[in-house]
Amino acid sequence: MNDRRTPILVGVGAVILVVLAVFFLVLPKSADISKTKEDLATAQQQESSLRVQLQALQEAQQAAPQTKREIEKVETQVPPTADLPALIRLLREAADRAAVDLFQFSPSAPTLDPGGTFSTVATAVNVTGSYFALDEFLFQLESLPRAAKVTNVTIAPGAAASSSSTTTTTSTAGALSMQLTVEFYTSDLSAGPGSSPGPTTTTGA
Amino acid sequence: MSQVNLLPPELKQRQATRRTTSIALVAGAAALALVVLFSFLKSAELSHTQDELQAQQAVNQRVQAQIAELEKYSQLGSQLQAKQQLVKSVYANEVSWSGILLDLSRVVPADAYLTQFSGQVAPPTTTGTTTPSTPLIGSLTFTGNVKGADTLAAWLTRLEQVKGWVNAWANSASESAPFSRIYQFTSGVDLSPDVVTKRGQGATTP
Repeated sequence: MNDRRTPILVGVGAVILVVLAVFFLVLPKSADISKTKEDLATAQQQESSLRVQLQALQEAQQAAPQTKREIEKVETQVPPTADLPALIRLLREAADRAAVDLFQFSPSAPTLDPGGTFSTVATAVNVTGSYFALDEFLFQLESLPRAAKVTNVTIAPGAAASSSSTTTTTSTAGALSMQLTVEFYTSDLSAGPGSSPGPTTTTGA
Repeated sequence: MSQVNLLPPELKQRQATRRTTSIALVAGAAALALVVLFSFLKSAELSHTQDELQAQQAVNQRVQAQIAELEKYSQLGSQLQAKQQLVKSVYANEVSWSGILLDLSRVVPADAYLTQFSGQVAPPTTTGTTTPSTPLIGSLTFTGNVKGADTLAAWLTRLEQVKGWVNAWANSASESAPFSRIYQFTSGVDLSPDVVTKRGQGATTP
């Protein structure tokens, strides 16, 4: 009787052994392979997006000289400091080109824009000249390399040039007097008397 | 002639059992060997996939290093964008005053002259009965003299003909002397967004 059961027991034992081998040898490796393949697919996708990013940066690198030139141009329009000496020279050159007399100018202390991205230097300018010379002066202001925006204009006859030492007033026949408020700008957020010296800007500006 | 098996039946039974047991053992061992072989194949596949993953990660790290090296150029682009936005902001609502003076010289009638002109770029205070549907960005005011009331009317008409000049109005007109027909007047126009320069239009109005 025992002899007859032996093959059955051997068969059952072999099946159990095979099943255990599958469970402990094959299945864990299959799971590891699946996980690794998923990681590989993720890494390959990551490489694709990184390549796109790299390409964009390489294009930015190629365009860098042009970008730097544009930044310099923009910084000429809105300089990082108030740079009052250059501003005065620009006004004087514009007046000379337009053949008007730069009679008076009063730059006020820079004020911070409500947006907090730049400061405005409102400057009262008084020039005298003929009608079309004044027109030319306005055109010169609009064409300055530095950004300038006229916000108020008043023109009246009776141009006067006074001298404080002699307290005399002379009038030029046919000349007009033009009073302007011109706004100049700087990206310096703390400019003018009493401010932190040097450029103060927001990050990235 | 028939064959006669002289072995006892117990012995025959034992031989058959031994044969069956051997077959089961061999089959079990073969199955186990197959499983082990399959396991080895899986190990090789896993090793290969892990090598691929490591190679891919090395490539990614290399690309990331290149990106980190070039990141400054991205910052350069952002810096330019920020500065361009700044320029757009400062030029918002810019008006070409030289153009306005030229237009003014063209519309003054022959029988009139101005004694004062002023202009400003800022929203004027609303004096009408309703809030204007068109946003106004500034105003011009004129003081001068005209010969005859018709000339004053022509002046107002010609003011309206300039693009961007709207709401022409005469605030006052008074004869300088009885029957002289010379009128001193003050008038003005509002400026609509049509007078804003191209670079002034590039920005969102505050």
